[in-house]
Amino acid sequence: MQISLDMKRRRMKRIVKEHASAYAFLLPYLVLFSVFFIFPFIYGLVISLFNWNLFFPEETRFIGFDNFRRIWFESDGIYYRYFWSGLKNTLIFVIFSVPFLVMIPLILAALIDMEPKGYKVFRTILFMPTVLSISSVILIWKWQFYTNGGFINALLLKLGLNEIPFLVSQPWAWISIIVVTIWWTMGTNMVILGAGLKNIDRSLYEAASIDGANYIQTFRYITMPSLAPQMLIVMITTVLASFGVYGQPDLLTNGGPDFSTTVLMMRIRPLALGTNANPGIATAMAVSMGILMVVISIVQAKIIKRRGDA
Amino acid sequence: MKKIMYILLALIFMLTLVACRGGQTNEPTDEVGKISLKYWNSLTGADGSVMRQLVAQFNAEHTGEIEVIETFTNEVDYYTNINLLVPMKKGPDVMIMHSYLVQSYANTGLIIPLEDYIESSGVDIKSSDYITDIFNSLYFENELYGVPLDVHTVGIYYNKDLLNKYSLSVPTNRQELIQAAKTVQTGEKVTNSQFWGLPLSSVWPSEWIFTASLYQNNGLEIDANGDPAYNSPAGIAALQAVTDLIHVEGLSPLNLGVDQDLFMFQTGKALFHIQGSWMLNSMVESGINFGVIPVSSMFNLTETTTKNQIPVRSHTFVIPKASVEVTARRQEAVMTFVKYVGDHSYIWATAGQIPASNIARATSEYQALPYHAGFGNLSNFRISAQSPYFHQAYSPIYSRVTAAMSNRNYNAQLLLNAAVEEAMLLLQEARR
Repeated sequence: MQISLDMKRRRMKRIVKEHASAYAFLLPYLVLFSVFFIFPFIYGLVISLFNWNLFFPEETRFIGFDNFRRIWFESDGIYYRYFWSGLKNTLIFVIFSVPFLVMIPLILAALIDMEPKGYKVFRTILFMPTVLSISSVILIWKWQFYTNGGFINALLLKLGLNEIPFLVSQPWAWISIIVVTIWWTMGTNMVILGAGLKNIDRSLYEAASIDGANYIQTFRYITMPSLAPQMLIVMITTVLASFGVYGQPDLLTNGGPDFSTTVLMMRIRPLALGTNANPGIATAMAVSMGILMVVISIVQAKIIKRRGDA
Repeated sequence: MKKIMYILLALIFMLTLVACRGGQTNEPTDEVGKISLKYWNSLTGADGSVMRQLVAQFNAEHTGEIEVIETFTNEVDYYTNINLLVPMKKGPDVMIMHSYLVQSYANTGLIIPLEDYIESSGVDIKSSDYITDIFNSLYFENELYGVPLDVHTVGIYYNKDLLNKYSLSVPTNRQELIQAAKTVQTGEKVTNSQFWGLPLSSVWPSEWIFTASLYQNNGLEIDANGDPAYNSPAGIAALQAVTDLIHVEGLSPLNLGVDQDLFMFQTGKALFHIQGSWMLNSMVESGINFGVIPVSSMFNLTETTTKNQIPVRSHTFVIPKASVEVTARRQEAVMTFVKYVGDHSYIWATAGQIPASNIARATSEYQALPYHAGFGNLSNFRISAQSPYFHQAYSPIYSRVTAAMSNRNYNAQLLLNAAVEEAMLLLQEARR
């Protein structure tokens, strides 16, 4: 026993010696990661269990899971209403945006993978919006969507059609937000899926063509299963990113019309810091959303893995 | 190794804890020589540069005695900073707050009564030197919490060239306003289909326009208990008076975004435009030949005793809960600064605001300003009702006004009911 412990200790010493420089290089990152991620993460969990008083810190009280009870179950309270209506709107966005955010980049990646003439130019053009900031993206699109002077509506009027109130009525507000999101974020998924397509063994395609498979069949039985690892990454990151949607509805529709595009993040932020702040409730909402995201990611990973193996 | 890592991690946590908790600021309490005052405001627009000028002037005149160090943040983050930093004892010595929030902040204890300050400093600040209603609205539970700097409101900007072109006189009531807008709109539309008589953004400043309409139709924002009172026949009339301009009179296109109406006016595509006094300099810079008329009697559907009332808000000096014991000299320095800016607020007025100080308004400099009288008669100014929960009770109506302005077939009663329902939930939470 004593000997094995001693050996262990010696082994540890050797490892430390060998990797000292590596740890030294990791340290700055570790510090930043702790300060800006681990610490706020744990601090947030702690806040969600308190009745946090911003104005009188001395009145902050531990209340266990009462914040969670209030946002989940207290149906005659304002926080319950904020949470569930916000979550509903976020889910609407996730459900209607994710299929497009995966399918459109997949189709584009497949087209570019055929390497038609000038494909590099197209790849660059399609990727370019990704590098823009959300504020410039919204600025560009607002001028397309505006009624009375917006580009699309001016075009509609010229064609003798009626204006469409894109930003102030449903379902147009959601359609606008989703179109902007697709345009803005499709580049990343396209590149990831494109890299996956490149890595597929060409002999598989040859074998399929010898067996007489057409393009659709090849895509279904060769391309899709081979893409499973990339699909897993794309699906999970896209769903997670969609849950965090904030900038598009906040800047484009301002959460309207009638709060129908006010997503959960838009409720959490003012509750965390605004005039009527209640940080305990805000962090409880954020933690609830986080739990939901983790559960969905695990389920997704399970489903895609099973499909990939099959 | 693991141990070292744990110790390291623990150290990092402790460090961050200390950093985030932010200890006490250990300012020297011996107040000899020059006093430095920290002054916060949310004035970042054209009005902000005028404030910078005023502060520089104050510092120049008090060299060696008082130095004011100004920090300005945009309005969105301003109150967040106050909420977070003042309880951490990192607040300023004096700051600007919007009048409608003073009661609520007084209620939370984040700002302190300042009669002691005035008394001990001996600086001559008394209610008779200010617009009475504004000054009186800054009392909470019989204690004074603010000294008003200005009042600001909305007015109706009109294009002088267009009125002359159609030989129309400046309207003085709702009928004349609608008639003039219709005449010019019909005439101009022949050559310019994008021309409108009175374009109205459904988003901003619609809350001001609705409030003017509510007052003029003899309505109330909140009742004596602080509960919503706009769900009334007056509230329905107020909504109708605003939305009729769009849906019935057809003077504005539907669904204009923020400042689209401003842009139309500044490019000569609109006859009238309802906008804040704070935008005055932007109008001057646009080069349009314009005048300003008050919103008085532009929204009352029937004859009322309140038809001339104009909603106003005020920028107010307040003093946050102090970080350290405030010496008498420091109190005097703060009040000297407040008094100075108030007395010299005719300079501040060049940014479009109307000085709350009677002394500043009496100066020849102020009297010479060409547009300020156009925002209306002081006796018609009405400040929002006072309650520590005013914002919770009243603000839910704003998004419903937007909804009514965007939808021709809105149901006023349903919208008002929904606003009140949300307000009651917010109030219930705030009063817990």
